[in-house]
Amino acid sequence: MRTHKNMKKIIKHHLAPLCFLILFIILSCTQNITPPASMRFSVEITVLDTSASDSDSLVSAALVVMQSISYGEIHEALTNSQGIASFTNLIPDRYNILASGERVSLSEIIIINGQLQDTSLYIEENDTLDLRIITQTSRSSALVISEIYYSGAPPNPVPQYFHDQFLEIYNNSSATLYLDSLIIADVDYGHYEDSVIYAIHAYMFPGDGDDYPINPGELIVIAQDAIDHSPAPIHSINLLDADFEYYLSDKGDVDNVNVTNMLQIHHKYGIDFLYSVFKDALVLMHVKDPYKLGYGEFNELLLPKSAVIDGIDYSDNLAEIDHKRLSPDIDGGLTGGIPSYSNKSLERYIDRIEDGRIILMDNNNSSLDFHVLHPPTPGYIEMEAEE
Amino acid sequence: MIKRMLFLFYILSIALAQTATTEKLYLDINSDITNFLPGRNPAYLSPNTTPYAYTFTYNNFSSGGDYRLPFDAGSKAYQDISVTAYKEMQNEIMFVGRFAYRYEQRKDKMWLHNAENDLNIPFYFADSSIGDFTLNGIDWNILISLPLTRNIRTAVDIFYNVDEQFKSVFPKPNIKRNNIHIRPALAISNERSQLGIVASFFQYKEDMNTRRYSLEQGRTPIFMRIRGLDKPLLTYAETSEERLQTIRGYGVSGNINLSEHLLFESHYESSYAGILDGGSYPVPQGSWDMARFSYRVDLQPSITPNLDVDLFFQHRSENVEGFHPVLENRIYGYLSRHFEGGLTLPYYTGSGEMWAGTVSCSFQDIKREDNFLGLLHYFPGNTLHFGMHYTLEQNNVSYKLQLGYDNIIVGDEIIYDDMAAWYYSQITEREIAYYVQDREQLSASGKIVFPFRQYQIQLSGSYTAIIPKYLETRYHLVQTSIAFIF
Repeated sequence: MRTHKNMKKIIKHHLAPLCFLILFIILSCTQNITPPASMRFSVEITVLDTSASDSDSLVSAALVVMQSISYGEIHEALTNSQGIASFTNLIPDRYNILASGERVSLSEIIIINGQLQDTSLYIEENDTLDLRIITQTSRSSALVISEIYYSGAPPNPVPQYFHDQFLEIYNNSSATLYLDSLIIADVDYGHYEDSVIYAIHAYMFPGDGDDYPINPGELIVIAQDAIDHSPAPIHSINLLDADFEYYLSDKGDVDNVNVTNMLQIHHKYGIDFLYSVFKDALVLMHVKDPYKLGYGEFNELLLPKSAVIDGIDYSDNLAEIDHKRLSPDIDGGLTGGIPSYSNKSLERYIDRIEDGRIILMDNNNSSLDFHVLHPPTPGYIEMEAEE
Repeated sequence: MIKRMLFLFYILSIALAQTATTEKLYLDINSDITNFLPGRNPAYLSPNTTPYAYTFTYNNFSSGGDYRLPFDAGSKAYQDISVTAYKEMQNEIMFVGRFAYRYEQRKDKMWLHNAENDLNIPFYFADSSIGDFTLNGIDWNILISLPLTRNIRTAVDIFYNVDEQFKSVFPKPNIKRNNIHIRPALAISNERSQLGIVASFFQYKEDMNTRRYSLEQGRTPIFMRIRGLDKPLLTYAETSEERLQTIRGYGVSGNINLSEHLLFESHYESSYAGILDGGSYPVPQGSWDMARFSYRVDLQPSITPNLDVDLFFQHRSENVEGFHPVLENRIYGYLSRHFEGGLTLPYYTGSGEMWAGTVSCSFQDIKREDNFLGLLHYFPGNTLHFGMHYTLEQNNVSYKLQLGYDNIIVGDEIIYDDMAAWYYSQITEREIAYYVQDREQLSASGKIVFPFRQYQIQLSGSYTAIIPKYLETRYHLVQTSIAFIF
């Protein structure tokens, strides 16, 4: 009887709050699941060539490459007839954007390059960003840098061996040219927009104007030390057949007497003309008086940028395009991306074969023009690109 | 009165087992000097509630198995040795001190450097190796409880801990932690009712370093900053930057006991965490806010002198939001909820013996959202729980036995995974496979306390098995402990 009374009491005093609790549970459990919000966005990039007449200022069929710096994603698109390249589903990040195209007339092909470096892109609403790239124009070079090997020999067993570096120059034209008095220089960082090159080292080809011809389709090799680096323990490449070498008589440098020495114009530091194994830029120039512009604040030789024939800008980290040393009219891209001491080189792509002569690709954009090669091929061109 | 106390301790043990303390969540530490008090409120500690004078305790926990989240260790072994002393000073002032040393090994731990167990945080630091972690740590607890009036007491509980954890394989991350947690409290109680409030303030700091990379080692570690469900930031072969994580938070909890017929307990906690990629140029990697909320209501009418009834409802939720370091937009969200209602029938046979049976039904769900990329996972589920508890106190010997069975049925998951990439297929899909499993959970625990010479010995153990219904994988947790009580 007492149990029955207690049950009644329980129902009277506790059933109502219990029902309320159950109702609360049911209401609390419901959750409306909708598609998630996203910070992805679209962008339309207009490529403009301000040097052209108004009707031609929109560059069609230009390749636009967007590289996400943090995530490494690469997106590519071609501009349409309105000069617009469209990208969708991009994620917010800092981007390097490269645009590369060409304008063809009856008499010449003008190369167009432009870039936006380290640009933060994101939008608050689900909308489309509009960007513009103002390009610069340049022309293809007759003499081009066809291969550069700067990374150095494998570290095992001799660490940090870099005396096997070389640079290769190719005659991309149909005429015989002369190397006499041309200058090879490396470019200091921080003068991207200046009208002069700040050269840390500058070396000149010897000759009086017609001593060192280079025929169409011919290439020459400039070695740091023109010796055989292939025997143990270095296990690198043989540069005995190099055409020129850098030699510093007062630094205990190695001299191959059978190989012509480059003439020292300027040498700021180092035991040799060492190309950085990490990041650097090299230019081939023709300057009548290399000392005319004098020196920079930190003992760099100043050379006119307009005298540059060809150039290459490289870095072990391709995301660091904001650390470029060469302006887009010389090199609109950045190549490299290879670890130091990896025994890998960068070689220019083959564009086409004309009358049995190799024509190398020259967009004045090393991101497009060069590929990684292993092992290096001093003195000849690898016919099949090997990544 | 004795039977009531038995039952209250039983209810308390259930509530504590289901709501992770802040130290347990972030540090994997059980500091137990207030575990036996309602709401873990240190102000309830008085000369009347002091459990013993001092004790030496050894605890051993181990867990492992194949049914686990990808970033959980393959197995974990954890031991701690502690000494705890309760001392009554003059004027009913209570002083408690606890010192513990702990040692932990985590085997086959994948990628993560972060030392805490909570895998619901939005950001991790990691490298690409899988290896074993070893941890050494010490922690201190000091508690002072003093009466303000006859019915009102106040207290403060201070917890401090330092840890060092290191991974045995290259790039050998080393994690140092420095943690403090302060809990001031107030309790009002008379013979029939209680009201308690506890505030808490904590700061948990982690400093993670990796071994400096060099070419001679011939290896190329990949370091990751993992954000959300996809697209970690990768850095190749970079040297050891210092990686810092600081979690700061506060909490408030309260409990009410009205005539031992209505019990209410609630806890709210809010924390903020910021992480930095340190070194010469520290780079913020993001921040997150976490809010945890829980409450439990027990209605306990008596039916007969030997049979009570406990109708209970409890709710827990955890809400985490991660924010982009530069854009400051929300890029990650995690919400888990648990609603449970049930009934416990305790039956007293007399002479200190109690049987209690429990049946409960719960709904729980988890929602994970990556608002950076537009990914979402939602996993609802229901759990049917049966439990049995037995207590006997006879001839100065105390026995406790507890058995549990959970049947967890996962409902229809909702997944938006458009444009997911490698991290999604390597990690996130395994997380989904974990969450969608229907499973059973079996648990058993026992404790015996018996006198031996001038002191008492307490032996306890528990075993839990998590068994997916349609997989061969399992997960086991085992705990044993021995305590010498004076």
